[in-house]
Amino acid sequence: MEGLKIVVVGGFGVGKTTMVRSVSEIRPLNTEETMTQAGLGIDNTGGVADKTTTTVAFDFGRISLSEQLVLYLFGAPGQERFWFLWDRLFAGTLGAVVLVDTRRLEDSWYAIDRLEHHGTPFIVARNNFPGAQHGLEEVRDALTLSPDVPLIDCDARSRESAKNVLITLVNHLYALSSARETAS
Amino acid sequence: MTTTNPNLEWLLENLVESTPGANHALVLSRDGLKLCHTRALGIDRADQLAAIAAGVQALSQSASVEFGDGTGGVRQSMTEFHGGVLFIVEAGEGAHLAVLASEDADVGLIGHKMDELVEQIGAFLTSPPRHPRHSQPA
Repeated sequence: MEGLKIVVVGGFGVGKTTMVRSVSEIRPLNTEETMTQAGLGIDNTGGVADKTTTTVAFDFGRISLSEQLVLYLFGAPGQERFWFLWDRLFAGTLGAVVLVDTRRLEDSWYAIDRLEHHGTPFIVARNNFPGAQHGLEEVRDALTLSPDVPLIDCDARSRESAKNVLITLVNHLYALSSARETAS
Repeated sequence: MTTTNPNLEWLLENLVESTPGANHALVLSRDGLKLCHTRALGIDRADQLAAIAAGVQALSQSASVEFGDGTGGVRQSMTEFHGGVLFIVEAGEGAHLAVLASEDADVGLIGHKMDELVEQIGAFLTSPPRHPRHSQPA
């Protein structure tokens, strides 16, 4: 059996906790806290006005894609004040999902920069919030993603859709590792 | 809400002064933002400690839910690291009280002093939800 550590990253309120929760086969670790008035003017809920809770440590869940392959999912917290946790979460990570909301694409830049800096392979999944109007190619341009980074649509609330994101990531990791083997 | 309340700050200063080994005290919101703190802690370190303490408490609560009696209640989180000890207790609604102490501090005394402060003024150590409770998703 092979276990892969995967992180789910992205800006504040893009649906990281929702995604881990919807695919996990065990009860997910939940470190969500009620957003308090102390965060007014700091945690900007523009576009996600009905958001009432936020992750203050990390999410954890597990999904078996087959009898041989188990994914351990760590969802990072989105706000800048919790970024100090990311280094620890990234240790030993084989791949990452960057979740983006096209209404607030700029929130994804930090995650993408960090992953590129760490050299961690990743894919980008656009979470389909209502009102998303851009084509995926526009999203690719806006994020200046290299053509070999997979970019797909998803609905983080749906188990099947979230699972599809993870399968896309695993396929991407296998493709990268076979490319490396061929090259060497 | 993030402006420091001078009366609360004075009470925190008093807590640190009257408790041997205690160096800094901070009241933070559960979502990881400082509400008020002792002056010597400084703004930057208060911001860091608020985020750290909120994370520690959230993980402690998850440990309580999974392995405790299921209510998620946490009496106290205590971390002994090289060079100091961090204590965190629940304060009023939506808030926690954190104290940083020296390595050789009397942990029982500090815990007691923190509980005492929360008992006296916990009602003022709060950070209310941004949204009315009924609007929370199930």
